[in-house]
Order: sequence, then C-alpha cells, then structure tokens
Amino acid sequence: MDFELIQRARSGDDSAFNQIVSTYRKRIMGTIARLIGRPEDVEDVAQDVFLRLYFSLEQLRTPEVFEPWLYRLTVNAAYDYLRKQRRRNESRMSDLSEEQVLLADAMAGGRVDADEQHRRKVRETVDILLGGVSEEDRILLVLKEVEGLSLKELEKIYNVKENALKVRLFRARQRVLKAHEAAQDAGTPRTALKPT
Amino acid sequence: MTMKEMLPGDERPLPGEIRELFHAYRESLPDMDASAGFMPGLWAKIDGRRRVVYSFGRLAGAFVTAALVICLLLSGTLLTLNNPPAGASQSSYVDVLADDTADADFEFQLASAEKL
Repeated sequence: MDFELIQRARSGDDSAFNQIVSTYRKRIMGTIARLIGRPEDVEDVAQDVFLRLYFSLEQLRTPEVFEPWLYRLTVNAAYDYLRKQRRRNESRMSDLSEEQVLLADAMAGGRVDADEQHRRKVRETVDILLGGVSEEDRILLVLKEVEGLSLKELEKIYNVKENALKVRLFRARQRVLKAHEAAQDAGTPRTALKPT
Repeated sequence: MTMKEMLPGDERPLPGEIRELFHAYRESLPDMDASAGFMPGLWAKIDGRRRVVYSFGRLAGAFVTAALVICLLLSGTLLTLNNPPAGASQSSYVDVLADDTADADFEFQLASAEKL
C-alpha cells in the first residue's frame, strides 16, 4: 500500500480513501464471508470495517503495518457481528437466515443447482462445527485453517508472541475436534464433504 | 498435557477430514465483489457518523460555554458579597456608635453654647 495514498486519505482526501477501499474491498469481503459464514451480511460488515478504517486512519503510524491493522479491524468487526448473531440466535432460535429463506424459496422453484446445494451444505456443516466453539476460536481457526495465514501474519494481527499464539491455536484445535466429535455423535450429516 | 508438548501445536495439523471440510468451505465462499450500493452506503454511514461527532462537538462546546458563564456569574456574585458597597462603612459597630455619640455630644455642646 502506498503510504502517500494513506497520508492523503488521512488529510481528508475522499478520493484517496475510495482508492484504498477499492484496493482491499474484494479481499476483505472474502475474508469476512469466510469468518461469518453468511454471504447476505458480508456487505454490512465490510462497510463497518471501512467505517472503522476511516475514523481511525490517524492512529496508523507506519505503512508497513497497514494490512495487519486492516485485518485486525476486520477481525474485530466480524467478532462483533458473531457475538450479536449469537445473542440473536439465542433469542430467536426458530428463525431462518435470509439466505436460508431465499434458498428454500429457490429450491422450491427448482432453481438451485447441485453445486449450490453442495456449497450450502458445506457452509452449514462448517457453521455447525464452528458454532461449537467460541467466537475467538472460530476467528482464529478460520484465519489459520481457511484463509491460510502464517503464524507471522497472525502474530502481527493479534499482536502477541508466537508461543502464545501456538498455545491458543492448539487449544482452539482441541475444542473444534471436540465439537466435531459432538456433531458426529449428534448425527450431523457428513455428506457435505462428498461432491455431488 | 505439559506446556512443552503443547508448543509444537502449530505443526500438529487437524485431521484430514476437517482440513478437507475447511478447504471445501474456502471454495464455497470465494472472494466476492460488492454491489453497486456499497460505496454510497459506506459514505452515508461515514456522513452519519460525522454528523453525530459534529453534533456532539457542538453540544460539548455549548456545555463548556454555559459552564464558563455560570463560573463568571458565581465569581461576580461572590466578589460582590465580599466587597460591601462604596457608601458602606468599613468601621466596626463600636467605632460607628462612638462616632455617633461624639456627634451627639458636639450638637449638645453647640445647643448649650447658644443658650448661654
């Protein structure tokens, strides 16, 4: 990222800010989608990330830390969303997500192809699996196992030492394994992994 | 499990089944581009937040001004109470009474002299 562009955005140049958003929007939205697992809410969360970015650009000191810093904002926004979502789910367990409603509607009309059904099943399976761990574990695991970030990158995002990160990762993996076993015991379909 | 055993946790991968599941999850949610309403929506949120910050700033400014005015008024009131009016006497009650008696004596002496 060009530091001059950041400087311009910091000094109130809206076009420079727009340029920053355009550069990172696609990648950030992809990461958010995988962190929260709900494509219909990705734009809202992404807007929240860039809103936080806009009002905290002044705090950024060096351009080298821009990307980890933006990832940190993304992680925080996803974390807030997941916590709100969990509270909402606790109070309204029977409600279907917007995507589920649209999908059910589309399926009823025979408009959903086999690939989409498979993708949906995968998302549901992972959602159940990650629903069995805390939001912190979920985010850490997605960044490491799904996004494929290295420990060095995670260190910068979380601002913690490598050993502490390894311990957290180890514990998160243990908990997801337990959730996996619990999901299997509860009879969650394992067909999601098999291509249709 | 000891800490020493836990540290190489990163090198201990998840079982193949879960890794495959995560891989399929990644494939099912590729990077996506925003809709046409993304940027206008973002700027609307930014403007909304700016308005809130501006209103709060104005409110805080008004509060500070009001506090300043109240301070000045209170200071003025206190100064007025501590400093008596220009015409008021600075002497003690006994001195005023003595002065008053002295005046009365003088008048009495004048009246006596006139009678003589």
